[in-house]
Amino acid sequence: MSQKKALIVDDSTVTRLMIRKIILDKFPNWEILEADSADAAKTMVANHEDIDFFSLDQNMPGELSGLDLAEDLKKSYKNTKIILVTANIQDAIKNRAKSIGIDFVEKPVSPEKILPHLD
Amino acid sequence: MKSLSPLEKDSLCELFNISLGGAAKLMGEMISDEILLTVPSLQLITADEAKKIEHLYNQDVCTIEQKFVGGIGDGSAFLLFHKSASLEIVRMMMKDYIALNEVSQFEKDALSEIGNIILNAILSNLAKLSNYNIETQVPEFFTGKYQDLIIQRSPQKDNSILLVFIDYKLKGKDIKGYIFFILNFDSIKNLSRVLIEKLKQ
Repeated sequence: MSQKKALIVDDSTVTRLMIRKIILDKFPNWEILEADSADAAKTMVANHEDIDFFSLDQNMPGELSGLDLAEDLKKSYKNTKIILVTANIQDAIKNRAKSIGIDFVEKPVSPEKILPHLD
Repeated sequence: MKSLSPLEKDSLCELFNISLGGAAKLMGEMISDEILLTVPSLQLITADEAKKIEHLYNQDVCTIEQKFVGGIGDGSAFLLFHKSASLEIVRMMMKDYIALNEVSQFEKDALSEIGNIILNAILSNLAKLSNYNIETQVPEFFTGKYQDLIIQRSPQKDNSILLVFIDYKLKGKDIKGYIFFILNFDSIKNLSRVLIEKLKQ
């Protein structure tokens, strides 16, 4: 069985660290990729095939938001689990996430909030 | 100096009171401790008055600024800690995610993330209660003397500042922090009008 991969996109190092630890504590064999912006994530995706899980922050430096990136990713990762992890809980953000077909996770992150999306 | 009527002031206090409940809960989740918040105290003051606030004037502080734009008006929200408390807060937040000797290198990033979560929670609630859309920017971290950080970075179009002065305390710890909202007077007045109309419905 091939090794599973997760890509964590967040400009906060501590949030990436926390999500990384949450995933690896449960799934020690997963490969964890990290990016600090949507642009960096796109480069990462171009260089890695078959990513199994995406965790995207909403507000990051650069032109693209997490939701913009999610929309783009959905074109080639139709059935892959994508979550938007954000402190911005406004209905407009939640509704757009829903319309794209991704799940919404409210910061602060915790194993209880992240792990159900990996099972 | 422009002023708010008692009804306008009450409506804004209520709005911040409701929003802060959610923010305190999130902060408690992050650091596994109970957060005690004072009832918000609203003051409309000038930049000069804001500089001289007791317990903050000339103190070394860390602050996280979240700028926002939208129907509510353009402004800034600040979460502010005394510098001496910042490392302790980061230790509490990071728990076993990183080793204790690594904490200092993550201080700026961890505090920025705390600010992002707390201030966004408050702004999201403000948006919900007022029916205004609010767009927030990526939080910025600053450290230095209080009067230099807060005042120099705030909008001062009409030289009046709404200071929603809230202090919170972590139970059992000698750590205090402050939350400020700075908006120009017309935005403040408009927000209170919207809230009063909603309360009448």
